[in-house]
Amino acid sequence: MGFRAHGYSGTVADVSGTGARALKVEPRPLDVQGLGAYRSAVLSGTFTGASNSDAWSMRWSDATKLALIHKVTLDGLAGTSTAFLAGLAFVKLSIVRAHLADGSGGNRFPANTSTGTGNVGKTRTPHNSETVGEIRWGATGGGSVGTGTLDSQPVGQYTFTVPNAGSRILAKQVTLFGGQHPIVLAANEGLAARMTLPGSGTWHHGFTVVWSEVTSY
Amino acid sequence: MSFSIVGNGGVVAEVGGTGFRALRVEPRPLEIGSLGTYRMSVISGTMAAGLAADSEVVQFRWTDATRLAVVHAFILDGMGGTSTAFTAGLASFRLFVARAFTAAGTGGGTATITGNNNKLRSSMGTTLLGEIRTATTAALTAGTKTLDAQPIAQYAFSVGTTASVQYVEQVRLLDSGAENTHPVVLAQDEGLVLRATVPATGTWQFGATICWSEVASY
Repeated sequence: MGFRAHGYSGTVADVSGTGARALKVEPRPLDVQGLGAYRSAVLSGTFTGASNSDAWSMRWSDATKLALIHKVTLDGLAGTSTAFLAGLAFVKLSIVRAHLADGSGGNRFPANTSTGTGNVGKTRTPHNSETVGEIRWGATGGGSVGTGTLDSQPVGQYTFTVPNAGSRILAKQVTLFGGQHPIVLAANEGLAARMTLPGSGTWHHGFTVVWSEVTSY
Repeated sequence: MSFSIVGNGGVVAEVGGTGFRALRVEPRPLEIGSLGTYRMSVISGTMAAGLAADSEVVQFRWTDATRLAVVHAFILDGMGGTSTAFTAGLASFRLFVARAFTAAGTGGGTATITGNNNKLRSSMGTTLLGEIRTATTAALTAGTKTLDAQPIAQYAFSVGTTASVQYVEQVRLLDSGAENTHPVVLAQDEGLVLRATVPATGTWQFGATICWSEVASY
């Protein structure tokens, strides 16, 4: 005896056909439980950096909610006409634990703790305003991620070589993190992207982070 | 006769609409219980010139006697040459399954896998992984193991004589989640080994990222 599955609104589900006989399903993103799903893309200014410069960071400080990090991308890295010395380079993304204090330097989102974030970054306007502690990115040089401990190894990276030339695209869009299991940040945890490039050159780069805010996972 | 699907929390599932009549599903990652899911990026030093063909440069060794490692992804995080140019030639990275991996290799460096390192959630258990070993300047020694006759993934490329060139961008050698394919499932004394073949004279650096879950059964 067969039976039919109907949804909450009464619509009956269907099977595709007698070839594969597959139940039709509609994949949905994570239920954000009344909170929201967000994206943030930031761009540096003309950047110079020392070894292991803190180029981007995200701090989650909410005491009761979780941030689920779905994806972090390096959105390209390109040199100005000021040439580099030739050498090896990398960008590394690490989880920061015991991230107890905000970083410093560069630009910060939200601009300050009192103004809130409005609709910025929401993937749907009715979602709640994001409650991220801060997203910080270097403008002209590395800043600081604040108080926190980076894991011994990063969770994502890109290693590349830099020629002795100016005005080159050194890295295209690279997915530093993405996959089935998100990074789950509890209170006072975060992410940090550090980069090392050879001397004398200047460049700009971008980062994008995609995350959801939920009460449980 | 039809029925509705009710979740453990009492919420009734929905069908999208009368066009496709598709049941809504929310894909979740692999159930890990009290164990965990981990993601680790490793990077070589400046690899010396003259590496022998098929040199082992990354070894991922699973030693736990009762649990399984489910490897979701193995990503090449780029490979670039230094100012010391190569002789022109062909090159490859090849990823092999290692079976009967009863003794670790030597050389290079091993990752720090204690405490909270590389957990995707701090509340997960500390990884039970045996080791991840990465070449620093020279090939790793083999240890005791048997590699499959053919790799399960690879990337083939060529190398020119110009110095300071990026030879390999980010390459996903394994990505079972994105591909909806069967992950590599490792039992005790099994692992993955990345081998590299590059032409002579050049020096270079590479990185790799591995993502895996640890489970009681699969």
